[in-house]
Amino acid sequence: MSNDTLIEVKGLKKYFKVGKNQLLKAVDDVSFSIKRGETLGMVGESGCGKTTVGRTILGLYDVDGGSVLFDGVEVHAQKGKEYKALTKQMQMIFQDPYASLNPRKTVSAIVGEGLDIHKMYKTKAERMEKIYNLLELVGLNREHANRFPHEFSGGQRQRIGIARALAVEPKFIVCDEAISALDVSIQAQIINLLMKLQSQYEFTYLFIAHDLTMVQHISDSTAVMYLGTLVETGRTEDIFSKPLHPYTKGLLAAAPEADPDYEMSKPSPILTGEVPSPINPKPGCRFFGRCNVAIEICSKERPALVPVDEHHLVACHVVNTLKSEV
Amino acid sequence: MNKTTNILLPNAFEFVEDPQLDSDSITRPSVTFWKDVWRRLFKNKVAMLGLFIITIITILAICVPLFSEYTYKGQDLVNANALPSSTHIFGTDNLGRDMWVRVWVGARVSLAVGVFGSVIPSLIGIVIGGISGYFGGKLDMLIMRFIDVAMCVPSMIYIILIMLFIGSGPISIIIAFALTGWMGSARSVRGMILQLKEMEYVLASKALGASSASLIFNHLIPNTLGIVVVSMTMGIPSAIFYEAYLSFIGLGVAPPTPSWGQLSNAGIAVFRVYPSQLMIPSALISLTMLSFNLFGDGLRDALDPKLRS
Amino acid sequence: MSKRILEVKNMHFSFYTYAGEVHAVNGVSFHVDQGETLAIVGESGCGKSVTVQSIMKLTPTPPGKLKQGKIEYMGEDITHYTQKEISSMRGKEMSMIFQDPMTSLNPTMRIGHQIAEGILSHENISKEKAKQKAIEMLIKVGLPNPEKNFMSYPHQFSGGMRQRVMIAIALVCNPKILFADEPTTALDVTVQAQILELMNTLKREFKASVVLITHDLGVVAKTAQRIAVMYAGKIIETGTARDVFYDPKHPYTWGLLDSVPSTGVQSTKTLLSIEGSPPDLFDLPKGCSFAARCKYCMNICREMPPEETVMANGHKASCWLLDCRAPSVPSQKRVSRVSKLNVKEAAYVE
Repeated sequence: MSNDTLIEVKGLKKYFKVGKNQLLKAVDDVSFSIKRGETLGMVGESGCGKTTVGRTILGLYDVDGGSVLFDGVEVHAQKGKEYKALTKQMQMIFQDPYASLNPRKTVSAIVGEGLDIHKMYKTKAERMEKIYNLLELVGLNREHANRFPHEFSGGQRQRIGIARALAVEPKFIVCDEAISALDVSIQAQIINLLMKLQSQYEFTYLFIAHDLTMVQHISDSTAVMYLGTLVETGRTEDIFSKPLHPYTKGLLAAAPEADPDYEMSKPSPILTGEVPSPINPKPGCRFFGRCNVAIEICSKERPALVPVDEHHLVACHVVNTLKSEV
Repeated sequence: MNKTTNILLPNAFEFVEDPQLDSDSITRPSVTFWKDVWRRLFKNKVAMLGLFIITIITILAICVPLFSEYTYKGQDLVNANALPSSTHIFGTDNLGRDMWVRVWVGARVSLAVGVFGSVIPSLIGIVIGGISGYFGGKLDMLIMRFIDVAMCVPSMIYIILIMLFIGSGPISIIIAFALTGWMGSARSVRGMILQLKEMEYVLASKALGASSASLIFNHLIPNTLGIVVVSMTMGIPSAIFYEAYLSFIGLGVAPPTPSWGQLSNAGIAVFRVYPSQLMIPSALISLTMLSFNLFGDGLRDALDPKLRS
Repeated sequence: MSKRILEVKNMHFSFYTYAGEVHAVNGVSFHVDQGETLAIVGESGCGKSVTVQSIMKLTPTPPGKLKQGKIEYMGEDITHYTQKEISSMRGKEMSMIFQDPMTSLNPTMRIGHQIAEGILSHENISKEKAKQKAIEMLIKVGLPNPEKNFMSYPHQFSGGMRQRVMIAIALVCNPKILFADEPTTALDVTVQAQILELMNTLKREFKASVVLITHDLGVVAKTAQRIAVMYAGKIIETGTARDVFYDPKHPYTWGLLDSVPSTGVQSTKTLLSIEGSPPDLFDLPKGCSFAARCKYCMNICREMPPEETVMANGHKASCWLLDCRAPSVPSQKRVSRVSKLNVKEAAYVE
């Protein structure tokens, strides 16, 4: 593994048992890596397993196969103190700014929790000073420290969540739909804040979202997920300017833009139907039922993620056959 | 546009120097969760009436035995079985003991048994339910199956067996309640924990490297407290009632120490001749139970997040 | 000029809570003509839902109260209609669909019966005929297998299918106006595209008007002919979709449009966001409510609320910058991506 890779995910599998004999394959054989100081955007519709990927990388879930390497260290092999040391380096920003803050705690208790757990101060005064600095770093005031979460607006709450994650001075941050629940103007604030922090502290981000425009704006590379599998990965500009997988194409075409003339000129939506249930999936390509270019092999064999050029990988039989014919 | 603007502001149409004001400042007063609950509770007149009656009964239970010239066992045989009068406010019993003092000493016992008999099992239940819900898996299954089996038998049977085994007295009653009463609250706390542990703030704390104990006691249990407090409040009247029942059948508090149940038991023997000796303690039992129930109801409404505005 | 279906004049709506009066809607006026889609855009808490709910009288009163204003439906004043009068209009004259279809469908009742129920309560026809009509409606909203779906329960459906059912229920009695409160916010992008397409088609077929409430400018661009931008309980800018998107006049609209990066070009630049948070509706500033977040705030903005300036084509905005005495600011005109697209790029759009 080259030294500039921070996160290396290999063949990650995470299954959940649902009732008797039912297996929800939330993440099924997913591999990717993230370079130091870069942002990987992960897009996909609800139920595609992107949140599970994020949580599994941090070790919040066990794995059912595959491994996650953080800076060369296998996350799921670490227990007790070693795992605790790892939590100091990897953090998470959550989707729901209401559910992610304990309603009974003050802001200083929430932000200070990581400081307490990892004993990152010598005196009480130093602790408060650190909390104040963190609040100011994310654009809040000192006066906010003694307030309770319900007194803040959604965007301010998300800032508190960011301050909590930054408290332990991590290297890697998973942003799990960190802006989805916010208003448009607030989304831009949070994106700007995340990008500013990245340039200041050289964070590595896994930016999970369903909003394509924001992913395009913030990410260096993009991974598209569908029903627990990666269908396409590559540099962001490649994914957005020349998508290859039919799902990526459909997803890009479906995202409406703030441009009425352009919207009116667009053809009807390409993708029909909805994401099927990930419980006991059928063999073959996961996208088979909704794909409008499917060929016979698609229903039988799962396509592997293969490179079309240096950075661009696609898991699609149709694309591969076209390529091999050329 | 009107002229007054120009008179008021000669530089009205100039850009201000610090365009972005602090729109992030919070103008609303800070309201903590419990302050808010208290405010709603205070508005609920029925609940406040309940609380008022509970307070009066508690004050009387504390003060009357302290300041009265009679004691609960002192006899005034000349005035045995006296009717309520100015010397003996509630009259006397067949041994000439002052009922007014006996009722309030009995209130001490009944209230203490009621409060501790409800709070202690709830606390045990919170811890066991919290652990069971948080860790899940085999431990959870074991605890839950144990509770299922144990709860098949009515708790009164356990209590009677325990009382027979360790003897009677207020402390024994509380122990008996503690050994049987935790199961219900453990079950409901476990249910809540199962829901809460999926909350993102718990995950956030986990991601920060928090230990299990810290997760349970800092994040999970405090968020179940509201509902637990309600069930404790609602548990008090039933504990009072159980105590009265046990004393009534002779298993509870031993004479001469009075309790409301015991006083009722004594009163029933002379009910046909001196009905007040049964009516007074049983009326107090009813009034106290009603007040706790009204207060508990109000507390539940006050804690219901759906009613928060 | 097409027929005016709904007109709201100077509506004020407040909630009275323990902490004081929440000014949810502060003088909102708008109208809806036959067959058009009006989008009310704004951030959460700007009063867009309350506005629509108070027209349908769906907000609980108390604590809510319509303080002032006039609501006219087809030229008739319905401001002071009783619940009974307005409920006879719901479904038949005006309908509403909500963000979360699961909570607005009865989980214990078959889908078909929920659709037929609406027909039976408004029209005097037999149960058989109502069922027939419900099945027709299911086909129209694009649910395959209508006979089978008629007997299904809501939990058997996915989010998109439930929203289709909601649309079927809302349109089955042929209402003249459909209020859609964030109808696609809970849905995935690809499903959202389908639902919006369906709404556009059905709107034409039923000749209904739509009032779409949303925070998503992309959704607005896809569906609306006219737009009203709301901020802190006021409509701060309104006009045709093209006017508002390509020639916005209010700094808040500028900010909203700037906050969305366009998919056409990737840039590592910081987004031009609106700093700060919307004002607390308990305690509105005396001047313009956007002044505290506005880049172009002038002295007068903090003192007096701006009046509405009417421009060509019914384009209106409330901002002191539009006053003739105000200093000039950089032009905020925008160009559609279509005019910028070259042929090569257009190929990828497909």
